[in-house]
Amino acid sequence: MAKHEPPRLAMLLLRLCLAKRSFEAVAGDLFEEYISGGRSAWWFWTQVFSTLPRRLGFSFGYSEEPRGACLNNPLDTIYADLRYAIRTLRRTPSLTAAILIATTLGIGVNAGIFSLFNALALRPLPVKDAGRVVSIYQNFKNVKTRNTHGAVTLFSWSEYEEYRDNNLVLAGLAAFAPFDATLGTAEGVRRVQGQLISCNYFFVLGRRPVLGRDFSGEECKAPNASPYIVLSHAFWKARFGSNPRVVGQPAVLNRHEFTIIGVAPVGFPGTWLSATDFWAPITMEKALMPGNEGLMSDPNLSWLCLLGRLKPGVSMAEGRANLDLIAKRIDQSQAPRETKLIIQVASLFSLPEARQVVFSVGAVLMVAVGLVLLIACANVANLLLARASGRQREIAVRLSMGATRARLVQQLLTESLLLSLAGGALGAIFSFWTFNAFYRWVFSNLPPEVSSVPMNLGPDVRVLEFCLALSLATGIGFGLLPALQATRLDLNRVLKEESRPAGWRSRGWLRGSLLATQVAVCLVLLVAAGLIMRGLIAAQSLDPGFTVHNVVAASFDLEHEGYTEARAANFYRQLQDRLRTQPGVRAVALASVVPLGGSTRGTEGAVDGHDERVPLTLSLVSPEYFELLDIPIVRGRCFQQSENSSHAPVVIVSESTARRFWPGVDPLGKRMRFGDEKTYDEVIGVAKDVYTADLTEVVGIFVYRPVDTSEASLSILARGKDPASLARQLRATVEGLDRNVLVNVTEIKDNLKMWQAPSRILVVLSSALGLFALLLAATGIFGVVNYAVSQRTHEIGTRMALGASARNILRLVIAQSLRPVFVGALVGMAGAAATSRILTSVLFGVSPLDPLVFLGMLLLLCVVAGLASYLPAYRAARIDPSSALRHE
Amino acid sequence: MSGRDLLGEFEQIVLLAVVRLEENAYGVPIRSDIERRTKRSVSIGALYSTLDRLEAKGFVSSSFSDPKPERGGRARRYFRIEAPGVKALARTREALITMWDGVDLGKA
Repeated sequence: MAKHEPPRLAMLLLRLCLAKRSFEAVAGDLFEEYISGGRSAWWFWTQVFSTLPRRLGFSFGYSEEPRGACLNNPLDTIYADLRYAIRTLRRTPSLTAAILIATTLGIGVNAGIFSLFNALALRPLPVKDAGRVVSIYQNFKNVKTRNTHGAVTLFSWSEYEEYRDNNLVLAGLAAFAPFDATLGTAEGVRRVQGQLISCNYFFVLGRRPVLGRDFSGEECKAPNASPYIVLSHAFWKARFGSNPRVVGQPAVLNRHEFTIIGVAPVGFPGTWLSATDFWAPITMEKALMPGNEGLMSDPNLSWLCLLGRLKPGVSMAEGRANLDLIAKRIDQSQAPRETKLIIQVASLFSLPEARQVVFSVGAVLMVAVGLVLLIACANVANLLLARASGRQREIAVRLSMGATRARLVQQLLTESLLLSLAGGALGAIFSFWTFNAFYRWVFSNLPPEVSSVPMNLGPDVRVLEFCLALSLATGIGFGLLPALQATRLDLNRVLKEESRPAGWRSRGWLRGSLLATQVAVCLVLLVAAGLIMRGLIAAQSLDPGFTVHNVVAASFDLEHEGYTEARAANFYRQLQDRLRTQPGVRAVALASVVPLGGSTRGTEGAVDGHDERVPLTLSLVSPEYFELLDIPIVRGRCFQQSENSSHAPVVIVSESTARRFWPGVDPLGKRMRFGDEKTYDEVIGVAKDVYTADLTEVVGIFVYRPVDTSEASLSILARGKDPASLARQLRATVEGLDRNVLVNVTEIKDNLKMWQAPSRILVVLSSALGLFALLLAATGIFGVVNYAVSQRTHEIGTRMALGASARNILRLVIAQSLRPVFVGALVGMAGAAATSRILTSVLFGVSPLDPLVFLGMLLLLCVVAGLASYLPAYRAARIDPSSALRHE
Repeated sequence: MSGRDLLGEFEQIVLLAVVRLEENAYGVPIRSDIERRTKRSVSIGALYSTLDRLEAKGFVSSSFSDPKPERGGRARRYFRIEAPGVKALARTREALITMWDGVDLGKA
């Protein structure tokens, strides 16, 4: 087989290393020998290395060359610059350390946040040859109705078949749908995570079971005929103690008996946001996802995620083009529908809806940590500027001896790049270390559904590339301005005037604006941190408007348990009756959603006399609900027991709902209707506004209707003296009624914590960032003032000799050095005011312009800035005039 | 470096190869000729730095051919020995012969 091309990277290196004339001959010779002489790539590389400068330490074959064989090539000068840079940096160890610390922390924080983002949205799935596995989702235009189970971007079974059978670009197309199920065990029932899958799922992903077998194609044909499951490795270990004889054993899921046929390989937690415990054939959907009619038959129902593996040699673009054709064909049969496919390399967060959240949250976080890096850069730039002033003579001498400005800028940039690359490497190590601990802490604060996200936070090529790119950008960012400034010199003055630097004034504005930038960014971060902290305090002392103490909620999903409506109603009635008779139980009530449980029920409604339909939040409750939670009925009356099960056409609205619909009018007797219902319900009462649905704000339109006990998923609330024994009683009573029912018991008080978790996490993160920013800004101010003082020793001495007091000098130095601080503070206040609104959701009623936070942080910053400039100013005030005047 | 200096061993070998190859003296044949006769491998870096030095001393001159497809569209750089190179070779040869005269390694 003829070779086409020698190694391209080697060719590139050769071009970099050699002058054009030499390159032509050498590259031509190598090319000729490589192609016609049948030489190996290894040989090619050794030959290329033999042309590199001897001082880099390469030596191949026969030679008796003197050193410096290949002069005046760029690599040579870079090497010389590097050596020079290391020497210079070693001469100023404290400055080098300060710069390294700033860049390490700045880049480390960014790398840490990026690794999280990478783990969620960028890293391919843990499957074989993951770069070839694509996720497929769809967006519609011109579609009136689309039934949805999960997300609208998913596919129906018939659409899946269409894509699977007609594409020319995929080696296989798999479908899956995640769901919750209950697993019956000896100790009772527990909730497990499953995925219904097409039977080619493991084949497409290239992960075959390590124990037992995979599903066969036959098992995905007849409905309800294949009660088999494959366990995930982690679940097998946790639940079955890694028992190797698990294959063939039964497992009871949703009260149906299944047989375990295999165990998936280790490190494969499935392809969904939460780790999967088991997989079952898609044909078992009736048993595992009960209550969802027509999953397999409805061609207009979104419920399946698709994963395809591209055939070898097929590019992403070819894949897209072919699948788009199939989408067009489906559209034609359902005109005027227009489908847009979303195809990308599959990652954990492939679902477009989830991606949007991750990307927007990620963007805010990256901006915040990016600001910290900006402060670090400004800080380092200032330190480098200061140092460049000290090196003016050296630079002037080199310029006068014929060095070009470009050459000197290159030398200075080499130094800053060396620093930033070293800082980046240290930062990457630092982030892998500290952020793992941070994430563990974050996840311990999140609800269990979120914390089971099977993320891999380890570093990969993308994270390393990110660190490298960031280091390079940082190095150029903080190095270029000082380098350009330092090499713009009036040679005559510098060389003649000895030490007093020319251009100090002209450089003053740059120094000042860098300092002001730091202060401004720092203040933005501090204000954000302060606001979030105030928000958390507010959240902790927030009165949700109803009783949260000593109330326990138990929620059920009886549909999963195979209950009929009548049986469910009976179950709830019996449970309430039994609880009421128990000691220590003061009140019992039914509700469709647990207060602050994180989920709400929404629908659309219209008021009698208006055609406009508005979205509203609904809660179905029994009459005892209001008394149990101490929610006052401010007008009218409460529901009555007789209205409970008879679908009485009565509603109670919240105060804000009454104000919104009937401003200035008595709402009692007014009528409204819900969803597609034809009949109107009458308002019989107005309840006080409470934070039952959302702790951050009172939900605008909130309506209570009588509970319908035939509904399968209700919650029971009980209030008593001791919540712990109440929870025990609840569990025992449920078990007494039906020991196979899965019950989820929570204390309402604990729900408050869940709402506070995001702000608790944000408080730690933002305070850390804010403090770090403050520290950087303080060292920046100190460095600049200190430098200014040392440069002005002569002037200060003169002033003192002419009669200025130490006080005068102190005031002079502090006043001058704080000017950029004040400018920065003003800009920062304006910036904070403009951006703080994005924090509203975690502020719990605290105004985003809270004056206490703004003024407090301004004060904090000014005090720190004052201290940072006081130390060097104090030193200046103690200068001895006689020695200062001799100072050169 | 004055023109009266003697050639180094590798310089001598390279110059001789250029002379032997006459019209065909460019990188690839020079290298293969040396490797075949001396049984030693020659790196392209060493060869060209020596040729460059010889050219700088005026011992050889070089000229580029037209671009050749078998070289990826690059030109050949042909080398020719010049009068000072001939003189240097002759001087070195003479010096070596003089030095070798009467030497018997078997006795040493």
